[in-house]
Amino acid sequence: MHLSEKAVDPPGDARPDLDIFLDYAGRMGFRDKDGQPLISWTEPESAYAAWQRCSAGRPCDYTDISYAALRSEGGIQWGGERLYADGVFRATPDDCESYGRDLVTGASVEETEYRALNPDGKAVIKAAEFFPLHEDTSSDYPLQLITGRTIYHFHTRTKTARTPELQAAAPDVWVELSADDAASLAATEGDLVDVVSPRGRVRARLRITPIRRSTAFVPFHYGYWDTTGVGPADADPGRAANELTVTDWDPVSKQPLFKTSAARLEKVPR
Amino acid sequence: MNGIQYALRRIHHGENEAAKELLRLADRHRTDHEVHHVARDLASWSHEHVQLLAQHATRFGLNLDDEADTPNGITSQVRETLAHAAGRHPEPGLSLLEDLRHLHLRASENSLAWEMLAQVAQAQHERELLDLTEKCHPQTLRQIRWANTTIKTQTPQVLASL
Repeated sequence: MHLSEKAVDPPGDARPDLDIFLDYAGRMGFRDKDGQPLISWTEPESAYAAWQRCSAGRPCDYTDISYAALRSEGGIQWGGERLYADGVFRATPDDCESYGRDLVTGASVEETEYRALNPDGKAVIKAAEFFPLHEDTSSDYPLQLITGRTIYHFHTRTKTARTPELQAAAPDVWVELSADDAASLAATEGDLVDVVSPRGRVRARLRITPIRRSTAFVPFHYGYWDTTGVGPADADPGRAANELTVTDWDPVSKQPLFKTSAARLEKVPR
Repeated sequence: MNGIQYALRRIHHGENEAAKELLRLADRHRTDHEVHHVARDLASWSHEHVQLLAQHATRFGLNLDDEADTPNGITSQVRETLAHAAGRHPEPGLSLLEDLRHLHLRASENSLAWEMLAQVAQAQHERELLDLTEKCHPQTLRQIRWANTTIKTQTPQVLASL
């Protein structure tokens, strides 16, 4: 854990998120059972102190990590030196955070079922069987599209695009394809191509790389905040990789499946 | 018909119906993305069960279809069109709850059918058949738990807003 101190005052009329939430709670008049204001904290440190009280004695106990300790040590390993000292896990049915879920279906594990695992002090290792992709390649969409990162950018570049060197290193979206697949498209390095999935299209410059055959790669960093501000337009075709992928997520973690899609490439006439 | 044949027919029929019901559910609720995708994954278990049951059935002199039927879209479409014509517009959240309730009952019935097959297999020392029930029955139980969890998650919103 580390403490991110305020670096600069918010510009213009901008306000810190916490102030806005507190203002909202105040205007809604949230009260506790004694009729006192529900929210007793007023700024980050007292909000954190409330969270420490909340977590006291639970597996995620933060009471030992104070603002003072964070400031003096710079960063503190959460859970102490060894979170699972002597191989003991906080898995006891009366103490654990949750009984967990079925990794395939997301169904809750019930208390009796969890107790039957006899998990006292032991980790529970779960397996999930293989399932085929929810959307596989087809004659219309013969390529397996994968999406990912470049070293120069973080997420949607709201920070890294404002660093001139990083922005210049990777200013716009591209698509990677193997030399064989590029040849069958009659396309060469630098050509404009459309990456098309059943849900949308992204227009990108072609890069020929040693990627596996029948696979295309598009980085997901590029959206519209620094172009149209809203989305694809006639003068500004699609460039957001996440618009190509299927709307699907992991039923337990709810992590969206932004990594793969079936797709085809179309060469854009010069 | 002997007891093993009876038990095989029963679970084969039940898994066939479960596969159809899961695919129909996935189709009717495709905008509920998690329900749609999980239901299709769970249907693949029932498809596999049907296939494995058909393979085993030949040893017991039974000829069972090794491919689950596809859902009969026309029947349900006709039913829905008629319901609309009669002025009944099923509320989508409620129809999901109803589909999950049916699935739960179907899978619970299948769980009992797997239990019967396991018991007769054990009594008659049919080791391979017992292994089959030990592989498949837990997946049927997971279908039940998914229906139960999803009903729990969806019911408050659906019923409180009726």
